[in-house]
Amino acid sequence: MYFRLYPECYYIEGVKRGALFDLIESKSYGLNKKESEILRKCENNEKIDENMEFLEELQKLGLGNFYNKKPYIQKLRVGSSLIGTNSGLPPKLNRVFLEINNNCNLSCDFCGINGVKRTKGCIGCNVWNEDSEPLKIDRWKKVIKELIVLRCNDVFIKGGDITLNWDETMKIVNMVSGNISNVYVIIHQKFLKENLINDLNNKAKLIVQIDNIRERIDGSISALILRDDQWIKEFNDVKDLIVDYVNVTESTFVFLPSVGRTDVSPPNLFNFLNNMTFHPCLGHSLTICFDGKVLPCPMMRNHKIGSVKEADLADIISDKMERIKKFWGLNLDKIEKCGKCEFKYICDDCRALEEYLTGKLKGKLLCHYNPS
Amino acid sequence: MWFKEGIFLEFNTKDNLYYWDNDVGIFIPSIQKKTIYKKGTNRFYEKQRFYHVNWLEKWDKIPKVPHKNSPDVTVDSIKEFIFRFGFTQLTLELTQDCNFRCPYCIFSDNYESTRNHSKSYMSFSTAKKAIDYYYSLIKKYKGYNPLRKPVVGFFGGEPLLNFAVLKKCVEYIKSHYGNETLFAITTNGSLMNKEVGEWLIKNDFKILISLNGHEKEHNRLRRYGDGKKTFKDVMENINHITSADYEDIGIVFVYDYDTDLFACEEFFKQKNIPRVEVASLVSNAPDSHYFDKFKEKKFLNFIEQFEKAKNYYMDSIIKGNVKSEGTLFERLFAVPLYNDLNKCNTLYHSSSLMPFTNACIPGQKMFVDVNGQIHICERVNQHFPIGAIDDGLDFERICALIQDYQLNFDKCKECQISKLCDKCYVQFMVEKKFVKASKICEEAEELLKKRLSIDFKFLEKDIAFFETLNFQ
Repeated sequence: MYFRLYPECYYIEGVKRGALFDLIESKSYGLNKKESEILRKCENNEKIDENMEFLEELQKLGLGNFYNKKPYIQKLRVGSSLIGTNSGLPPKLNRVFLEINNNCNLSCDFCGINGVKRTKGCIGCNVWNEDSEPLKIDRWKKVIKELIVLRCNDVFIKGGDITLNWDETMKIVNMVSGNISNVYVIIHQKFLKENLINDLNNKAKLIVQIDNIRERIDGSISALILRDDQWIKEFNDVKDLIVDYVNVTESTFVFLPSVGRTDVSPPNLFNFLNNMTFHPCLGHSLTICFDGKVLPCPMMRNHKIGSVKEADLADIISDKMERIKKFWGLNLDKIEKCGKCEFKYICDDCRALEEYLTGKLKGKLLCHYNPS
Repeated sequence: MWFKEGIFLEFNTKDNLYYWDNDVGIFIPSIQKKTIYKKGTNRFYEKQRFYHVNWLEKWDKIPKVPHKNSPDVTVDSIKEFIFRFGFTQLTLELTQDCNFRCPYCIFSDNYESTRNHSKSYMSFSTAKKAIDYYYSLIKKYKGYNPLRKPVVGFFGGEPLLNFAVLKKCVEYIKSHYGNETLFAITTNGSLMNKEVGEWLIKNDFKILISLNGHEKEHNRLRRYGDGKKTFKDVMENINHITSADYEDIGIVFVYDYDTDLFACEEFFKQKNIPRVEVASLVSNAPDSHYFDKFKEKKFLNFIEQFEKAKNYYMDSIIKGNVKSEGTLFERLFAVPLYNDLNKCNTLYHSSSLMPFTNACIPGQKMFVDVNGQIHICERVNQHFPIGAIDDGLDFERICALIQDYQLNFDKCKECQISKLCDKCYVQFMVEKKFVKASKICEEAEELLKKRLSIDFKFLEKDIAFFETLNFQ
């Protein structure tokens, strides 16, 4: 007798034990060593004659079934597996950050200028200790035209304080609005005014960087808040909360979330299968900085790929694709520790922060789950 | 049928039942409806069936990628598609002349719709215009696809009959457009002497040579115009390439009902013979008379031989006697199965520009004939031009051609295997018209069902071989 998981159920093996992921029902099942051993054998199409109880449980959960004779089970995938990364097809550009300025009159401790201290710094505001000449509006126009032709899916417009030259910001918003599926604008809470919200109405989704809960914001706006449990409770009427955990001391990391077995998100079919090949965050993502630098992520300032001051974005993508692929293809199999973990395809990972903390592009500190 | 809705092809091996889920684009397991009830097995079967039916309800909930851009077939939507996904290859027909007269050639008298051999040669001026046009498109639309790399192929007739122009083209491309072009040539190999071979190697050509197996078989199907045998000349020239350890060389193999597949496999197993990259039955396009000469018995004998060869090959895999070596049997039996398992764009909807068949959008590739007319590809007959190098691609004409082609999709909506379809314009065209799918694909589902039943029998026994193969 044989037992096989259904096509949508993936058994992923860690160095010591495995986990099972149901990609239709979005459920994960951590397995103990014995269960992992049984399932490994089953998925290798080996005959089973014992431990039926465990497998019957999986059968009841709709995860797999018994067969009298060896079956062939094809695993569910997205797209064709014949289309490789060297197929010559256009690049899939899901997300681009447009860092349209590097100016701000605030001096927040969590700001990028003080080092990478946050888990979601990419979708918050930052300034940097960089004084290169910023891009002119005409150059931004050209960049945006290129992004539209490339069918970029999401654009995040951010600074600095992008309200300092609001007319220019709105010119950029107007260029992308209606041409890019999802447009986000990131403004610090202190600069938020009703007329800005009105200007953005139906053109972009607003993400507000918040570090003071006492000043309420409109309930229909996404808020990127710095971590404080009390704040989260008080913010229960805001539509979307994005929690940005911040490291407040240099010596300890106690305020940063260290991922554990219970913290991982339920598996999403498309993300899970994407994460088997690409980095969950860096994959299909690029940043264009205020001065034209092209980076893999707004927080990874040392990894310059090119500059739109010197070349068109298309030329940078064409000439530097191998380098871009190094970041896009940095799936968690390649990250130390993660590679040994059975939850690697449903886990988040902030490479910018990990690199800052460990000094290594493939280093990992913020995880307290021991896969070994 | 266990299912309430959807399009599925049911097939079974001796041991298991499967479906091809044509909506999702993947093979899914089922359970045999009839089992041999031994004592105590009834309960097992009922449980197995009960949970399987439950699972099918879950399977119905599978999310699909939302269809973002579902354009109508218009000039604008075609342009947008071609700018993004097109211009993958320019192929130049350097001549319509050939020093061979192979009876199965689509340019022979056995095929009514295609041109015949002629003494027409492409001038360098025409080739240059085609090249300049191709590179101008790549440059102009780089923003749509920065990762597109130029590919220029040379075709004939026998392209080496016009070697002087070929050489000039390559020199011109390198001096004007840099060194990133991939060059390819399809040749009968007879004129690829040492000097020519060295030049092709120096320019990193992808070389495809027509070779129909061992001496007797090759000479049966491939002769010079004066009837002389060609095998020895071709082999000598292949040896120039292989003895230089050049690997970017492959074989195009064609067979008919008189071919001894086992003897050919033995021939292609030899170390000095390049990989078989294309293996196909002589074209049996609707306008073909080639197969008229074969009696039914011959056909049945060949089918028997084909199945025997397949069983032999698959059994060898199971016994662990086969590695991926680019032999004929690998190309004939492993590649189709590999493609069935991997090619489908699972969970995605087909583009509304080409919802059925595996046809390209004309303009994805460009085949320029000796006179400068642009065609869909080298396999499509001359009655469907899509532009000319002086005027460029004619998008109005491409649009009309696609619309005309799609009028013949009368069977496709109900087809249980539309997502596995590998047919294109070539299989449907007769002179200036397309034939209805219902006529061409009459037995397609039954034939595939039969093939899958055999293939899955082997998949059940050995999975690793097919998962480690890489035929891209």
